[in-house]
Amino acid sequence: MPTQPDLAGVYQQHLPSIWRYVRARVPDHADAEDAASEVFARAARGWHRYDPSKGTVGAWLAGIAHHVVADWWRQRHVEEPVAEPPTTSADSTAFDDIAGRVDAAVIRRHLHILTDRERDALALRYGAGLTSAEVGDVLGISDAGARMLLHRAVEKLRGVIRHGDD
Amino acid sequence: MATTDPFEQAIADAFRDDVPPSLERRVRAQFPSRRLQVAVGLLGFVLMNHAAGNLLFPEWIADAIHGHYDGHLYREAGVAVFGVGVLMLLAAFRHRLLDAAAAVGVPVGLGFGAIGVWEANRSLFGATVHLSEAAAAIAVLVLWWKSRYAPRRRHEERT
Repeated sequence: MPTQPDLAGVYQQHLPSIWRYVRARVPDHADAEDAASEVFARAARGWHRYDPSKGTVGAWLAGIAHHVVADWWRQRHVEEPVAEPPTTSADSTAFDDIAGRVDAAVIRRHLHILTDRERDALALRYGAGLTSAEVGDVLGISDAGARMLLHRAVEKLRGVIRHGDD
Repeated sequence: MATTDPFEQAIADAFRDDVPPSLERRVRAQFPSRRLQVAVGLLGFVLMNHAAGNLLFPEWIADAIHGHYDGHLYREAGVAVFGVGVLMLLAAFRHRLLDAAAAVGVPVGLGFGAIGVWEANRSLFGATVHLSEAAAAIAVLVLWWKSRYAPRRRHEERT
């Protein structure tokens, strides 16, 4: 049976991944700090409710972070903007077709073309480092659904960066 | 996260962002060290014993250390030590009080430790009580320091 990890060790291990997720989802740096701090405040309050047999601490914290970020957007009565694909093909040369390499800064510039849900899934997978099954748990969809969502988001980004406005 | 697709690796890199030290400090304050809480509780316990001795057996203490007996002084000192002990015990359960407990308890415990050295050849019991207060105070100081600064240092080394 999994044992309850030490509360004090939790933040040291998981703060970087939770911060990456929150920072990817909250545009303002100071607000992102507040939100990340709130994640751990809620975690400290609800620590007695965490059940190791139901999942990893990381997934549990990411679930809290998902709610905190949703609350943050709800309080501002706005939805995350989704833009049309960029009209310039300036970044199309940034994609190396042979090696498939692309600069991280180029990815960041194109994240806004994704839907809110796709961005959320990518931030959970690549920011918080969750497995696709854990991403599915946080988003309330199946593992297969999460895989599909992630695949769609990655391919959409790959296509836009590779082809620009083609 | 491990991936063999360079494009996915670039996505992971795009999400990479170092934790601001100010955030690390804020979060650390929400997760107290269990060992620090135990040390603070122990310091509170020995201080409460000390206070009980001052309040209940002042004449016996004065006799044991071959000192001058002043009931008023003993009782007032007992009440003061009792107050510090209560703060320590509360801090053991309320981590928001840990900084205040360390700021108050450590100097008091170390001060009693110095008195314990002086009492060593007068009253073994008194010296033991005082030196145990000093030991607990040192443990609180070390653990408080580690809980406050060691994680940040590790984080800074990583970044």
